[in-house]
Amino acid sequence: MIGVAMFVCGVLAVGAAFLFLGLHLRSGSAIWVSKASLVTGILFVGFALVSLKVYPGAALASSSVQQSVATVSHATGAMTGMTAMGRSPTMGVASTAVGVTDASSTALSNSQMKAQNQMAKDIMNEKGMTPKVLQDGTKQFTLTAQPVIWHLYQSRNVNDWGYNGSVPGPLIRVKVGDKVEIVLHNELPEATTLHFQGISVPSDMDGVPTISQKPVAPGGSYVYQFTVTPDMVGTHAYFSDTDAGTQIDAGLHGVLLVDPAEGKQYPDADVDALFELGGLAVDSSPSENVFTMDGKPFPNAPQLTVQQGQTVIVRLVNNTAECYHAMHLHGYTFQVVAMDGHPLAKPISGNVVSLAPAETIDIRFVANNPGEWMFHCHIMDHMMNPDDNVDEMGGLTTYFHVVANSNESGQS
Amino acid sequence: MQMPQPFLSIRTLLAVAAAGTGLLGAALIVSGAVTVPTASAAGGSANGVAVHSATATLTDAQIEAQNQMAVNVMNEQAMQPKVLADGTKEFDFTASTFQWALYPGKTEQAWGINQQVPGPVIRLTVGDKVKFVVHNDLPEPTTIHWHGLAVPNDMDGVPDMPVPPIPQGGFYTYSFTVTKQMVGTHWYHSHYDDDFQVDSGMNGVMIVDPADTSTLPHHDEDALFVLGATKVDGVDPENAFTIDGKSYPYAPQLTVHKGDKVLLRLVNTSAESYHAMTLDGYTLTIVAQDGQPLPDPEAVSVVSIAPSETVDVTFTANQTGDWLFHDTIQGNLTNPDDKLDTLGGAETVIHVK
Repeated sequence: MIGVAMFVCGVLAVGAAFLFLGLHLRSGSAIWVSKASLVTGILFVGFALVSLKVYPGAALASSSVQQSVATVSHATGAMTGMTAMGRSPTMGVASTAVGVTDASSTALSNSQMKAQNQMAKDIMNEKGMTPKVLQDGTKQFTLTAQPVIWHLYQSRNVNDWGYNGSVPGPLIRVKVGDKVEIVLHNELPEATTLHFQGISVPSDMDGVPTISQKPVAPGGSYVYQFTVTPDMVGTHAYFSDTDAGTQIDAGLHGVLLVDPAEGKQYPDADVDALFELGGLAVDSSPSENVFTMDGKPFPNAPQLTVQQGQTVIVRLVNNTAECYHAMHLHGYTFQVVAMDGHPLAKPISGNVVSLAPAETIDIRFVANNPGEWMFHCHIMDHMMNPDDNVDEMGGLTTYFHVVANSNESGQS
Repeated sequence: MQMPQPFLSIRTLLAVAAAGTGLLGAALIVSGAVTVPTASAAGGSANGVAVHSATATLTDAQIEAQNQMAVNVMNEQAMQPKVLADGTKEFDFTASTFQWALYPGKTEQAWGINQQVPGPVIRLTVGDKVKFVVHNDLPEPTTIHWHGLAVPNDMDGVPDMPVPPIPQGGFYTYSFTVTKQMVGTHWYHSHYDDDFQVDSGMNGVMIVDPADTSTLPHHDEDALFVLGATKVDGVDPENAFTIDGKSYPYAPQLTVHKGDKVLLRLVNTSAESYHAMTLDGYTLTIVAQDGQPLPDPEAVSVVSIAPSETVDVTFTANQTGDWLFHDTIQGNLTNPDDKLDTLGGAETVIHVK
């Protein structure tokens, strides 16, 4: 830029000099020198003016474009930074989630909305789907992927896709030694598959379209079969692995809990509760802007009630297609006792756990501090529903109610 | 006989020179290589180019005083309480709005405690009885939540659960006894309109020591780096990142001596952003998370820290030099309006002498 300016100035100055020369000499005898100087001067000045218009203009324009590109990339970089951690698991890659459309606000009756809230409570309380038991003892679960109108908050209903009419899909609870068959029926308008995160199933049961299997066409079915082995014990996610960015956030996700052959995974727990975190995009948002616990954003997210003194296990599953979550419990220090279903040899204490998409974390605490304690994602725009007024709580927010014992009070 | 006219008189030469200089100057200004400094370039200019600032109401002395507050936060200079007759430590918090200089040329309106971002460092000992009298001079209600502390439910600072938020012009007294559960690096922040209020500055750090500090591992240096974020010029999401309330180059720099065992307490007060911190030239050992000691320390190069987490790391300063302590999330290292993409945001320097 400076080089061009110097060049233009130089040419202008030289041109000006020739003009002065030409004008000064006019009265002299060397009239041809005068005329030549004038012409040269005019040519130089003219060239300089043209350069001024073309080059500095171009230089200015390109430098400002570069600056605005730089600004945009900084903004993107900042967004990517936040996006990389707070939103997308891959650095800098734009969201692939396609949002859900609104359904009519009167599409669901009050009793239907209540029934959906009860489904969310049943997920929290780990009520598993009852399988059909076949002749040879195989536990057969049927999952039908189908459109479902799902209530979110206030008067907002959306056109979701869910398994068996619920989001998340039914809780599948099996134990070591079980022979399991999961029959997937596809009633969606596009192909789908089913993937179980964190368990080693045979390759053709893994649910990756074209790699593991041909994707299940609309109207088709596929049977996923595996035997439950000891390394599968724990909390796991399941979800569609076809057009997953769209299908997961449309509602095609759920939880698989595997218990040991005998007894419970956490025998000393008085309470064992599940909070599955979901996400979706509404209002044509390019990224997720509504977040759910067991399928519902606050205030419809289920709330947990325990008695003071009880030992509580909370299983967390991040079934959001894009976003990390940083889950924080008020009033307590808890221990992380398992990650992706695997027990930690030495539990790690804290009050915030970070979950990437598809991760699961089990935490444990003793409910010795009575009261209503908020349990929420600390990424603060995940605690809001779109259209929120200031501080209308929403999204990934719920409460743990620790009921005081009648003959105890205060902190221990 | 007349004296012959000189081919080029002095006057002509001077005229050409003047014209040439004038044209040179004009061309340089037009091409943007030089700009006329404007009155709005408060706090100086960045890289020789005048920077538009939001409101230019802080003097250089005020900016310097704020940068010193950041140094005090880094050095964990704790607020002195008023000690009541029964030994209760009483802290006076006033939440208000004020001008805060983030980086050269950028001053924003902050919402914070006692006119600083982050708020005052609070240092307590197990057994202390404490009272925080929080006055609300903000344009909307607010609360204080003591993140990581198992306080009684009515001291927890969540609006209406069970106590209503502090109205404008009102106050609330948070009181509790410091227990063993509370030992470690924690923080406090508003829980009302929190996505906005916390990023505007309504946050601060609390460090709790055990009753017997001889049980703590010894360190030659104990420093605090609060990793923050904010949104400048109404942009969403967060686009300005801070250490102890300031973006580079205003962020405080730490000096330690060769051989020092150094403890760094990292607190992520950002409403939305993760940070991933590294110290060039060094391995960092994670010794505690959310104030809780790790069962086994973990040696890392990069410390990933989610919004609201606290992480304590140690290193031994065995290499002299000037070492960059910075976010590896590159987008967190720029200041908006920074034309030349030099250092900015969540980075600072640790000098080992």
